[in-house]
Amino acid sequence: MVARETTELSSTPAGTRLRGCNILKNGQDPEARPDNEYPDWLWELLDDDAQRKKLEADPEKKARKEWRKKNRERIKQANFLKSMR
Amino acid sequence: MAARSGPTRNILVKLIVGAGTASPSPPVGPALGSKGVKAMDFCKEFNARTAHLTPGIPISCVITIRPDRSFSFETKSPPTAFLIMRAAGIEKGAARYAVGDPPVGRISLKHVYEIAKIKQKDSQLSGVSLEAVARSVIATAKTVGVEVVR
Repeated sequence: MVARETTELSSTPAGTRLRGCNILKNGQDPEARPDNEYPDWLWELLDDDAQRKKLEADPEKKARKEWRKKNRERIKQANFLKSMR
Repeated sequence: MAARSGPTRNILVKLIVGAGTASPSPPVGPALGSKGVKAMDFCKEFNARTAHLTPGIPISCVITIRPDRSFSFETKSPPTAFLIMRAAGIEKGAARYAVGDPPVGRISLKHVYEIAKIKQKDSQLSGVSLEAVARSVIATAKTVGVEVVR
């Protein structure tokens, strides 16, 4: 991630046409707005540490994720054993 | 989705059709014709409903066919993978994705934001926060082999 001299840290500075982001016939691809006009959570989406902290802050969600992971592993193992028979 | 046939049950058919370009020939024709639905009727209504969208853009739709052969359908937003690949300017996604493979395209978080806004208009996603939709868009980008950068 290269920090530029300007306050814009995004790879698409304000005014860039966001290709492919329009599905209306009479519309146009929207223009990128300056960084500060986007919600703060957007910039944290790629940051693993920030996401982990958010997950820790929500114990229900964290428990749900862990259960689902366990269940999926269990299903995969059961399927593997079945295929071996 | 496998069709569950039986005299009293509805049958669901999932299709991806280009907006405004539905026609009775494949893929629409046989898929609906075999369930007893007049493909022409569906096409007329589908094209009317998608007239305001960019022509040709693939639209997912789910058609519910009732036992008396009448049908209703719901259209959704285009597949996320399609929107991502279009934003990255690539035609096809990566053939396979492993941890070390170089990405086939690149989009920025601002693209993700706009794509998430489009997806959130789906009825199924209307209750989900925009942040969560954006997270799922990023996950889809990963499966397609497109890198997301700031």
